Amino acid sequence: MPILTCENLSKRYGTVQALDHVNLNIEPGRIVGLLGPNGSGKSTLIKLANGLLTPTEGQILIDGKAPGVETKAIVSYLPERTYLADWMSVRQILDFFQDFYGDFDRERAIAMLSHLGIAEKQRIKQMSKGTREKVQLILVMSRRAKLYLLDEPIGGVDPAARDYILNTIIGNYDPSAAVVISTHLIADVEQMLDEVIFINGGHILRHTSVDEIREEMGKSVDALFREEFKCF
Amino acid sequence: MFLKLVKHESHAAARAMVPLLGGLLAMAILARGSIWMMESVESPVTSMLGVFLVSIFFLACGAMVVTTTILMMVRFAKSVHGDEGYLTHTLPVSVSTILLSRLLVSFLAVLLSFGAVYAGVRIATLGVDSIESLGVSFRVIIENSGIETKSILLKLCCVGVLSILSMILMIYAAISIGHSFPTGKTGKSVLFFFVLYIAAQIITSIALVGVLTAEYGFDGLRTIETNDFPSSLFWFTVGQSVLFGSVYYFLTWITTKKRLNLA
Repeated sequence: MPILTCENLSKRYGTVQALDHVNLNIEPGRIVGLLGPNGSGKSTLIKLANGLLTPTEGQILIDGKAPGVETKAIVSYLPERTYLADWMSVRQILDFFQDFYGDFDRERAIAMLSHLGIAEKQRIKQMSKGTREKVQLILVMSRRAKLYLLDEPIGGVDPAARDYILNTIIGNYDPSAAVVISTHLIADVEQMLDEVIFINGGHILRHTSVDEIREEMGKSVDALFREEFKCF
Repeated sequence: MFLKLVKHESHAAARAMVPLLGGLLAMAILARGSIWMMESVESPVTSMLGVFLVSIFFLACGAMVVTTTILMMVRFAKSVHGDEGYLTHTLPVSVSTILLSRLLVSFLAVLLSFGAVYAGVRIATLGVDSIESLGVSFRVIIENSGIETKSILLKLCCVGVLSILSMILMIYAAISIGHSFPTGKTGKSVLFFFVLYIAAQIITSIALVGVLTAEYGFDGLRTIETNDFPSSLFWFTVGQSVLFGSVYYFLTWITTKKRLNLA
């Protein structure tokens, strides 16, 4: 059974159609790149999967269920923004995650944090923006979730931090889980992807495996993306 | 999960509340000290300083509940409709659980602020003869008036609790509706607070006149005995708070569930 299913999914903000009758299945065990330019509908799709938005039409299912309390327990979400309260210390945040998520692996999180030299007593407000993003990613990837939804995990960080983030994702996700990475920085994530979804104007333009793009079309994902989203 | 939310929310609220409560109690001690100084040292300087400190303390008492309310508003807006909302709304808990946990913590914070004001006033006036004799006189008047003090206090507490809950829910509803718009969220929250407040006042006034007219008739309204009022008003206020509170809760719930609009 697909871990994420969209059936005729539409979302409209006033007169703006953010998603238009999207049909999509994502199977477990796949790393999927949700690729598209800014404003293409990537974040809207991810927010709908998290229950942060309600569909205007159609439905989105996580493991066969509409987003709700049950699905939130199996989805690990990294938003674009820093959502951690800046007065909290790392220890308080670890306690918070441990209290609410039964699949949170505290030891794994502590190991990753110490690797970065982040002490448990350190407060979020004492950290740089990049470090905050890394802490947030560590928390998200320390869950044994069935579905990881990562919204622009490498947007706005330097190349060295990008490598760290991508290595953290690859090194920590459960192979039986699905990972959806939304980004427009394709060259950086291309090597880790199994499948790609090209999205623009709220429509799914292409959903295919990376091998197919490379073998049958003889192109890299980045080259194909540039070709399809060429600005005239 | 509800208790876990309450635990973490209390922790967040305590960060802001503890310095506030501590500050008020410290000011109460200063005020008591200055009263003692005024009583024991007769000098224009000590008198002026004493009056100044006592005035500041009573101003702080007035500001305490207002500040607490503002802190709770900011906390709700940030944790439910601000960036922290990305975490709050992806926890495996329902919207109702989130809202009720916030409501409980805000209510306790307001109660605590009332408690701190009471404790502060008691500290500041401890052993001041004129204040203590005023208290004794008040008790004598109550006892001699034949009013059932316990019953009235119980009713007042009940009305107080329901009114505070209803007021908090009105603030939550205004914030939630205001934040469902794409722009000017804070301004629209303030606007909807006034809309809800004025609407509540108009409906309450009409309903109150209607209830009293139905009970006493138009002519009877002029001749109602004052002893009849507390009982009628009590049930009216209870009903009004429960009804409005439920409407505000529903507005908050539906807006947060169906029209959540995190930036």
